[in-house]
Amino acid sequence: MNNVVTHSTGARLEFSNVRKSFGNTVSVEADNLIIEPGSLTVLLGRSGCGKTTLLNLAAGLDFPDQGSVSYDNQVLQGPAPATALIFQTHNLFPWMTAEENVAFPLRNQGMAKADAREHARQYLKQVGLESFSDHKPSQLSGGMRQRIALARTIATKPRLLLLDEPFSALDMQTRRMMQRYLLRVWNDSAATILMITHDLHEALMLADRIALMASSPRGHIAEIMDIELTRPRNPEDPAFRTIQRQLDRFLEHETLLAEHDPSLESTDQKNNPEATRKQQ
Amino acid sequence: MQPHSINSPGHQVTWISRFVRLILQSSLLWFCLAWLLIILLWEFGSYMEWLNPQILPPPSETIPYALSGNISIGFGQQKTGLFEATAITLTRVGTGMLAGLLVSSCLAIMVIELPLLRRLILPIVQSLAPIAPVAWIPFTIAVIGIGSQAAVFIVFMAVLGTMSLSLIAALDGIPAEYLKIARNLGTSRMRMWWYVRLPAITPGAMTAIRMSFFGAWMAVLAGEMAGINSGLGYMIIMAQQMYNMKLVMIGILAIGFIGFIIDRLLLLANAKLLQWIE
Ligand SMILES: Nc1ncnc2c1ncn2[C@@H]1O[C@H](COP(=O)(O)OP(=O)(O)OP(=O)(O)O)[C@@H](O)[C@H]1O
Ligand SMILES: [Mg+2]
Repeated sequence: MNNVVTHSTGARLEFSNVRKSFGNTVSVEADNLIIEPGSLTVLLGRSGCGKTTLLNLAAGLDFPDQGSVSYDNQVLQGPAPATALIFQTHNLFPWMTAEENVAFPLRNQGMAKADAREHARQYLKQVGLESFSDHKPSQLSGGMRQRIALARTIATKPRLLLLDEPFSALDMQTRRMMQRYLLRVWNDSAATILMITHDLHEALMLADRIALMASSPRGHIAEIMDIELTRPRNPEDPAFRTIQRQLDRFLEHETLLAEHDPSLESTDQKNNPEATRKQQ
Repeated sequence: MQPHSINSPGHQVTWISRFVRLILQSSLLWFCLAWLLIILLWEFGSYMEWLNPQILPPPSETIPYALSGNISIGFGQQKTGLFEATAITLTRVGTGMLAGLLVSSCLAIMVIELPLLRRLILPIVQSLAPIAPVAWIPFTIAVIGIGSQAAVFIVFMAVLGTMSLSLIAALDGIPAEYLKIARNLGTSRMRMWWYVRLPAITPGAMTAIRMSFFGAWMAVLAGEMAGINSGLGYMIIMAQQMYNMKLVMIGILAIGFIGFIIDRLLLLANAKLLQWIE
């Protein structure tokens, strides 16, 4: 990925006194969260604490009921500019080939068809999938699809990359590989990354900062931790393990709180691998 | 592979068994078998005089008549032949369905683009959808008359409600991720409809078209039997009035056969489209 064109710096995001409600009760709040340009921040927390809600606000696809979300000191009032999204699934349009998927945003910008295709093939090459240009997503593995989604992301040269559990559906090996890919994209592009994960290990492998979210009495950011481990990260490193234990304890505490809170459905815990493991 | 194995007896056996299996799996074969069985039972029933041959003429009379090539009924201006009548009816169904598809697409686009209109349009199509297609016939004949326009209007009303509802449901059912991603990739409104929403709802829309075809087909025939002055339904009523029961039977069989063929064609188109989309 050496020939990624580097460009302007990453975007700066700021949540101030944000309240977002669904129905009558406030579901999620974020008082003061600043995401510095070029940083890689991970949102970590149990299911239902409002991670996706915050990400939608950052993307400018949804808006807070109170407070504001600013992008480079401008309050967002529509889709955030130069921003790319990657979800757990459904990232690629299944009716387009890999190449068409990558070319799509370029065509949106008015690039001629032939040029867009040529560019798309270059970006596919960067994720090692140029020989799959003509394949439909249904003919590709989950990991390949996420790589193509990353290739399309690079093609749009985003200043902000929002990832909602992008690797959760992948097996362990593919997930590790994708994490390395993501770090390379981040290094080469200087984009700001905000990423959601359930996976503690993943968070520690990637993050500059981890925003720990709690769900009681409503979704909020309980703590922000700067992760000052050296890169590349090594899970065997004692410092890595110390932080991992610390985070583990936090999540365990959260789970215990949730167990005593009748307003939270017990089914939520089944969706949270961390929580279930702790109960055994 | 060794060259002589092609002629080995073992190879021949597998070739034959594969051929037999292919034939047995062919839906055409079973289609013909099923019809052969019906025709035989019908002939047998007439022969045993369980069925009155005056009312239900046996296939041995009906089939030669059907193949004789000059099936028609009525005189002068009112004269109508099987093929002409079928062509008229099919044109009406096609035109009415096309108009229905066009208008329901417009409604669906408005519902998605203008959330305020959604509250207005949704109750209208929701109350149109459950009205049985044939219920429009008396109203239409009274207001529009007994010409082709009336038949087209009946088809149109028969499909409008259900088609609109299916299209809106399909649009609402598009995974939110596709729309969010498309928006953030800077997709314009037009491109959103053309490159994202349209392909995403195509399977649902094709099913909706297939389903509403049945309603349209029944409604137009009922309309033609109830007063509209040409078409396949009209031919059957004329035949009945002139006591040409062979032609009545042929008309009924034609309805079933054409309906079946069109449904198959729609299914085939559906599969082809799915192949293109997935
Ligand atoms: N569109 C919506 N309508 C109603 N309630 C919603 C909506 N979106 C989210 N919520 C509620 O807001 C809360 C936070 O949801 P959110 O999807 O942000 O959680 P999450 O942390 O992303 O969970 P998960 O880890 O399961 O994805 C939940 O209690 C959810 O029920
Ligand atoms: Mg979520």
